[in-house]
Amino acid sequence: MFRDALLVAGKDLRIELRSRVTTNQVAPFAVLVLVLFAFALDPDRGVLGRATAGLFWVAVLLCTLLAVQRTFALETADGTRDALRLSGLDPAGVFLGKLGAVVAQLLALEVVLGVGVAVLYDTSVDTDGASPVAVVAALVVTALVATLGLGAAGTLYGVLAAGLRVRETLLPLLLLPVTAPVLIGATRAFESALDGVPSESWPWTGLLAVFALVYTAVGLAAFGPLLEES
Amino acid sequence: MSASGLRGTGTGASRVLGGLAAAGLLWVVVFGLVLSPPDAVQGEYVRYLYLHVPAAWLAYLSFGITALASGLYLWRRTRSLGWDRLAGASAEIGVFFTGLCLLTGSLWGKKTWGTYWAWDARLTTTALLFLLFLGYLALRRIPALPEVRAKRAAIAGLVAFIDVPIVHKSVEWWRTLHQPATVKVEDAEIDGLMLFSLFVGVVAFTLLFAWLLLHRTRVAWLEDEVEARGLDLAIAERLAEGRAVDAAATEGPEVRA
Amino acid sequence: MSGLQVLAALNLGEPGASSVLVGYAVTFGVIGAYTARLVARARRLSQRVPDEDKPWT
Repeated sequence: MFRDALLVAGKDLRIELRSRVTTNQVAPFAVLVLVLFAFALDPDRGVLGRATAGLFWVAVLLCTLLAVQRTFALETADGTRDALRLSGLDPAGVFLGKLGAVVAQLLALEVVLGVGVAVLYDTSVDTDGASPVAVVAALVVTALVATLGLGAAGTLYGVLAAGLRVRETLLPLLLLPVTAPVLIGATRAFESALDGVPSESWPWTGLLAVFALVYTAVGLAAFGPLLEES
Repeated sequence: MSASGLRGTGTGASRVLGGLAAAGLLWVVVFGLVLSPPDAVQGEYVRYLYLHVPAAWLAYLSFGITALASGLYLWRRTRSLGWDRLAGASAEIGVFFTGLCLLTGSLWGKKTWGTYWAWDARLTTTALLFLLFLGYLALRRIPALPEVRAKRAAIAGLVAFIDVPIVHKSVEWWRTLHQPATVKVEDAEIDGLMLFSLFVGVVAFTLLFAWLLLHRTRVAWLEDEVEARGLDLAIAERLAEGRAVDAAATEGPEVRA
Repeated sequence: MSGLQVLAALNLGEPGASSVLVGYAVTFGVIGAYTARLVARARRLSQRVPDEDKPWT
């Protein structure tokens, strides 16, 4: 299963490297979202600095939609779906592979967004209380777990909506309510970390871990039956 | 029943159920508006309790049924499109009552909190529940073979239901972090008659739900049946056309000759 | 209870009573509308399938 996963992930990432859609379109989109928030929220009143965590994760959520749409658009073109089915690859491995590719791209986007947010929103990290290492650890682990959850839920719903003409409008409606806990949890965790109390962020990270676990498990189980039929 | 004499989705048993439900709802009005006492704090507004709580109960009941039916469809030993139809019907009624729950909660809140909406844990979770199953209903409308659609919908239904406790927990943590619980609806001391009225509400609404579910599931069966027949009819017409063309073609050369 | 007694018991003089009445009316109105639509749909569809084929008849 893991070998198949690496195969699929490698394929998706190689396609990305050659077509550069994420770097050329999604990353600029992410920065654009940050800029739009600034237009909407009046940079002079300190709102952006205080709302940074939330705005960051909303931007990530929007990028997740794009990344998932893309990963399954790749499959509907040229009958690759049938090829995938006939290839004899373990469906669970295919799920993990697609998940891996999506997570990798999202993490890269989060780095971009992180830099963007630090630069554009003048975010202040209050380190009076805790060590910078603890704060960074909290931020990084939270981001990893949250992204895994987003990727798992996204890949699962991506295949549920795959191959349908209404996919573009159906996927957001299906995915966004489901990922609400991730938005809530990741934002609270980031806020606690940025406020200098990373210890308060770990319960939220725990919740995010549960989410990621549940959706990865469901995705592994459901991917096979879903890929089976057209 | 109808002009052409064909029977509808009602049966003897369903009419009894319907009658009981109607009677129950009448009792809700009587107890809710007349017999139960006004609250010491909220006055008459507490009467919304007898609508809001039963609606919330139905929301969770219906989505539970959707999840259960989805699971039964996915399990090979019990796979049957009947479960899929039940899941869909229950979800539609569930979305309706979730909306009603939000509506009554909103009207109630306007009077007691002064605002139509508050981001408290319960209301927020209910709003997310509403959106979750709205998405499920949208997925059910995709054009696809019944089995394909049923499988996808079943997985979506189960996943949505699994998400509910996670949503509930995260929203609850979130909203109790910064503010203590707002005016709680079920106060520590609830008057006996109020409790009974609430009980009447829950029972009556559950009867209504059962009646609606019965009919909605049968309507789902009818919809699938009509579509299948429509398909059969179209196929039969095409076949007839084809035979007519064949007949004309085989006779043609002889006629001309 | 006679109509007048019911009305009296409804405490219409109390603050909020009328708005609660409106709330109840809206709620039951909406339930009625959904029920009516469902029944109409059921009747309409029932016409297109012969009785013998319906599993509940």
